[in-house]
Amino acid sequence: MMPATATERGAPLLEIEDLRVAVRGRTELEVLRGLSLRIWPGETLAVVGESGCGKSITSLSVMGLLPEALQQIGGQLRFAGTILPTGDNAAMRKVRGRRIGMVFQEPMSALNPVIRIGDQVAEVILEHEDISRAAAMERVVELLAQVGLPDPARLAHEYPHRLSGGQRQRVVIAMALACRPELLIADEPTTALDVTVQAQIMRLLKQLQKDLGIAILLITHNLGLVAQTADRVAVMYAGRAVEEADTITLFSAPRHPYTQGLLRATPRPGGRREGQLPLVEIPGMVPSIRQLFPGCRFEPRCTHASAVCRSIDPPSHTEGATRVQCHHPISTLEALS
Amino acid sequence: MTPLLSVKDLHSSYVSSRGRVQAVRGVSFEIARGETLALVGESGCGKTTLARCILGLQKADSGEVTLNGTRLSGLSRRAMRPYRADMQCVFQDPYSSLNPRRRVEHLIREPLDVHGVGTPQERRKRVLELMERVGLRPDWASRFPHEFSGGQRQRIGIARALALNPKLIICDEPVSALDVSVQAQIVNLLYQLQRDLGVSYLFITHDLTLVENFADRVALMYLGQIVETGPAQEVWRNPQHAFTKTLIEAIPIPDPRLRRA
Repeated sequence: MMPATATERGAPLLEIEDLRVAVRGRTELEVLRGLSLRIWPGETLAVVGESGCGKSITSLSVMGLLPEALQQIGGQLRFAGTILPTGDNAAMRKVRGRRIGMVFQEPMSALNPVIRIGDQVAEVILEHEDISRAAAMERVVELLAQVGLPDPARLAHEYPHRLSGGQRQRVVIAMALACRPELLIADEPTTALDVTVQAQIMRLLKQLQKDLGIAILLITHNLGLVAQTADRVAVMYAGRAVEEADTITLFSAPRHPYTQGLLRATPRPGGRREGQLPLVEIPGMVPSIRQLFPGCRFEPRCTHASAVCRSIDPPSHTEGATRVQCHHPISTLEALS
Repeated sequence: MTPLLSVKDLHSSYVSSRGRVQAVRGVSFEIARGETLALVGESGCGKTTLARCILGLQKADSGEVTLNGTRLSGLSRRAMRPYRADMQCVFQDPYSSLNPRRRVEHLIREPLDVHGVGTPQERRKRVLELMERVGLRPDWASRFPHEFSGGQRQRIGIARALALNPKLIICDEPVSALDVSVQAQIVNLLYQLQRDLGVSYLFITHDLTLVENFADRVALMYLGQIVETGPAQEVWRNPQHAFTKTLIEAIPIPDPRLRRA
């Protein structure tokens, strides 16, 4: 959880470098506009951003599951030192579910309603490992117990509709962990759940991470979850990671005006502002990918913008423990005030 | 002064495939003029059923709903009609709560048409005035809902709810489908409208943190009953009921220095 330099930490597990994804046949319409991210073994990297910023496209890119309407037009994904064959479905099938597991937002649609829970989890194991069905079923019962489901042997014979939302998400987590992946991608894993259930699921994920040493790529819009669970954070805006830092630094000294705006807009306990509007807004909205303009994508909403912001898209640079893409990053002093 | 809305010992149940469900079990509360009462609870606690009973969209088994001194319970549909104008609704999902085949102007004007308010010219003028009030450009009046973002659609929903100058607006999770920066815009708009128009809100939500920043009072609902009420900040600081404590403990605080083990 301490911020360490790249050399101290060894090689990253997943490295996304200058990833570009655009609408197929309309390559000027970019959904990811040069995204760079790194995740080290065993850590939790949270990717935060608002709808349309490209965070789910990022996870789909890593899994090699981009929708037909999109295509990768540049950049590279490296996993454990080798280039991920994201365009080769047969090769990706050996990675997906085995080395990279995935948990989606909606547990009901991630499970097949007409197949028994045990059979669904076993399918993942049988796809990747050469073991008997009986041995796989034994593993399934262990897995269901590991994710904290009661009476796993009986539960394995039930259908998904018999479970609550939180229990279903536990089954999805069991499936994602069935082959002991090195990386777990959790895309809004608790957004559909009540807050008390959300707390249970996040506690489970952190415990499993500790026990198994997996890295977690947590994709979320919930800054509370990020503050409570992530080691490092990448803030995405309009297809790029505009700021990346360890969690304490990012929350205490945000450098990008968008990050600062997001933090200020988030309601917090004890944050009531008497005699003022209840919340701090970010004016305007995220530009559509169809709105083509030079310069910084946040410029139309930014209070720090100047002429250079309107003409040149800011490059990424490092300031202390933070990587930021902004012509006028907020100084540490200003961020603390 | 009499409260604007008073709900007394309301019970409501419905029949599902698993038998009779007691969704609301003896709920009582009041809302004053110009006040925001937040109703907080998790899914299935009965908060939406309660709202439907207040609006007369669902029949209560027993209990009493009084609006502005008039007892609404037991009124026929026809007798209820004039009071409906005083109670409006803003829904969670601005995508499904607006008819996609109607222009914005029509959507906002519809309540005026239904209640026969003013001449066509007056209604048209009122629509443009409402659009301006909620932060929509009046020259967008002939557009369709799909041409707007989620936040803008919620503004359309709010303009429509305001059309008849209601005294009470029931907001059912009005910002939970929105991004945090847009959520702030909509919450601030609702707050500003209350300051300007004196409207009361029953604000239904699962987000206790948001409520603490915004509502006057909060009522916590659990298994069909209100288990705790009080000033929003007071409830957060000093929760009394076990459910409230559990809920507050589960909320992820957006500050990594306050990390829970």
